Amino acid sequence: MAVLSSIAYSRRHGTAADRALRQLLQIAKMEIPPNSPGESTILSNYLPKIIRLAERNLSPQLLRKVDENDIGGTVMRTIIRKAREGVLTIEESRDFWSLLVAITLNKVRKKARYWKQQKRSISREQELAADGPRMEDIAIDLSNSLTEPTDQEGEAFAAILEKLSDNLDETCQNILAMKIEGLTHIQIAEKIGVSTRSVTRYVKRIQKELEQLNAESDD
Amino acid sequence: MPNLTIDLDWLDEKCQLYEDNWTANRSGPNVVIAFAIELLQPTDLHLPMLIESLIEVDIERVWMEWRTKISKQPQDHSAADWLGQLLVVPRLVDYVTAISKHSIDFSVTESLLRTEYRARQEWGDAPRWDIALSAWPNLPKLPGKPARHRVEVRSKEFPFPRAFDLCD
Repeated sequence: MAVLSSIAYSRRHGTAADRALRQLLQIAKMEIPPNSPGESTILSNYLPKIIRLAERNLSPQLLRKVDENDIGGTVMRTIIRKAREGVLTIEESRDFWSLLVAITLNKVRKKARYWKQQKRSISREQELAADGPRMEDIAIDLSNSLTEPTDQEGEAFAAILEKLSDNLDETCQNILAMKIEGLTHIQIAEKIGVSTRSVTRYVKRIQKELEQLNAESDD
Repeated sequence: MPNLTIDLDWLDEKCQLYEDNWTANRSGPNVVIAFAIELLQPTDLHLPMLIESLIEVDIERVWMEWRTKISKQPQDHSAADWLGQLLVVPRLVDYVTAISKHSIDFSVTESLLRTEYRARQEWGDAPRWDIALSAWPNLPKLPGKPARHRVEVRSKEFPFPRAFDLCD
């Protein structure tokens, strides 16, 4: 039933929604913890609502650059990952919906922040448009920045990673390496022989350190 | 209206202290309760939250340890030995039973049930969800006060604005 309503939504919204539907089907195929067989149904029920929420909260300029369906997909992936890590439970409830809303709005904010940065600023694009650059050039530039990081971005990332690693103790360094490899908190807990709560605590410490580094580099 | 919020840093610190001193011989319901009661009075409203967090740590560590033990068993061990190993692992039911002897107002939460289930799936005997739940015949009566505790904790874990007004 939920999939049918998504298909109807997809038909109304064209190709972008088709992508969302494909993402939804991917989610359905993903391994959701076996303790709740209804989880994929719950998620598919919420997806159209999340997409609408993202659409409502994106400015018209941002909507030209950011696909609300992509945000819907990433919210779902976040939720599933957190459910697997045991951080939250997928359920039909007001609290769960408010959590989805919070995550969605946070992702919208992140996207807005990303596009506000000097290089990608929407206002900069408008200035350029006034000078008369070809729209094709902007589109190519945009697609490049969305797909692959530039060499400079890669170097900057490596430098931050190195600095971050230097500031961490050995346990946190190991956990950071495992997080980058994509291991879940449960897998990390097993590897280093601590509880998942401790892993979460270590990850928070890493995040704090990273935020501090970002603040320093902003100064 | 009692204040049910708890300082998560404090809670984390105590859980870390508990885990730092954790060994297979110093674990289980009585150790968890003794540790918690040393920190908070039995009547303290935050005691159930502390106990819940400690149980989560304990259960995961116990089942991780169990997995290590089982994988190190000599090949010639008998099925009885193996079963013996299995039986010594404390279950959530054991914790709740032990807590009830201390007049602490404690109810099992869904989060605890899931923690135990997940730990048993990851490192233990991997029971089916319905079998894991069969230890809790009164389960429908469980949500209530402990669930409210969990909501308080969650609202701190996700420091985003509450956005009920955006609900469809």
